[in-house]
Amino acid sequence: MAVDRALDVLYEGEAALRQVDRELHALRPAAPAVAEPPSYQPALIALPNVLQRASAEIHQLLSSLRDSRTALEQSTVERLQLTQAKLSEVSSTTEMATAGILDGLDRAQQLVDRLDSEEGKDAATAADIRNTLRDELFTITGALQFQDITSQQLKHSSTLLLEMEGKLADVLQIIDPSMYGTRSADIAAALAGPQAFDSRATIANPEGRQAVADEIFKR
Amino acid sequence: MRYLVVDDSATMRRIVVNSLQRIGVTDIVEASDGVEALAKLDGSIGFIITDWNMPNMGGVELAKAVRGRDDAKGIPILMVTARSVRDDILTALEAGVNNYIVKPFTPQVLKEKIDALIAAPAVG
Repeated sequence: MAVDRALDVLYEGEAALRQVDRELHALRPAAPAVAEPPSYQPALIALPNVLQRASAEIHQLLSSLRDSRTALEQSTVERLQLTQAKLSEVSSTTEMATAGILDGLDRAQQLVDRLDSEEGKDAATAADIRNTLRDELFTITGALQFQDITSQQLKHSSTLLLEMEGKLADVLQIIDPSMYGTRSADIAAALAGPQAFDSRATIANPEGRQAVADEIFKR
Repeated sequence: MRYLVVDDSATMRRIVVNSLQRIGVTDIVEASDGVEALAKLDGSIGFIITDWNMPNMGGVELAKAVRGRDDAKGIPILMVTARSVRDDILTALEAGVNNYIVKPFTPQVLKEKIDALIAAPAVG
């Protein structure tokens, strides 16, 4: 009896499941006659590849920017320090030369005053004073050599600034080639010419530096 | 004897010319670079005073060019320059420069070098 009851329950269950299946089937929408794929489907399919390429390019760009930043930091900091040192030297050279010229003018003025006071007295003394005065005036002329030295120091500073501008243009070219593509080439062309200055030109210790030259040419 | 003063700085040319006049030299020709100097180098030039750093042609190239010319290779060349590193001075010597003055110079030093070169046997 128990077995028969169990079989009845099983059959009733199966029938109920079949009924549920039929009802569900009836609820499904009718399939279109020809299934048209949406127009954006190929783009969606390609999207992962596009994103992968974009990611690679962004990664490369960031890497270039990082490298450029490092190079820029190294070169510009060094050059800025050198430029600052050169400009500082120009300032001190100008000050030293100006002081020397003013001292010479003071001495020349005193000699002219002495000439006035000696007028009509001792001709030999007056002649000595005139000679000393000529020497003083000539020394003043020689002191103006500082202009040549500072001019070379300023040209060097200008070149350093141009080099830094070139480095910056290189970095900006990565971000916007259309705007900065030719800038670094222009700067490179400007720097390519021969340097008509000595980057180490200085007014300091002329006697010591002349001694080195004399020692070499004495051989 | 005619002196040729070569420097791209007009101020320096004036100072050198002034210094030469001070020691009695009056026959002076000026040039602003090596190219102009070579163009002015005729049989009348007996002494060259040149800077190193100049546009178009510098003093070292000028010295080599002068030493390469049969009509000029014996002319004494005095270099007056701000360059004073030992290697630079040796480069000038090898190029054919006969003596060397470091800027800034005194007229006394200029006179000593000119006197010594004029008294020395002909070069070249």
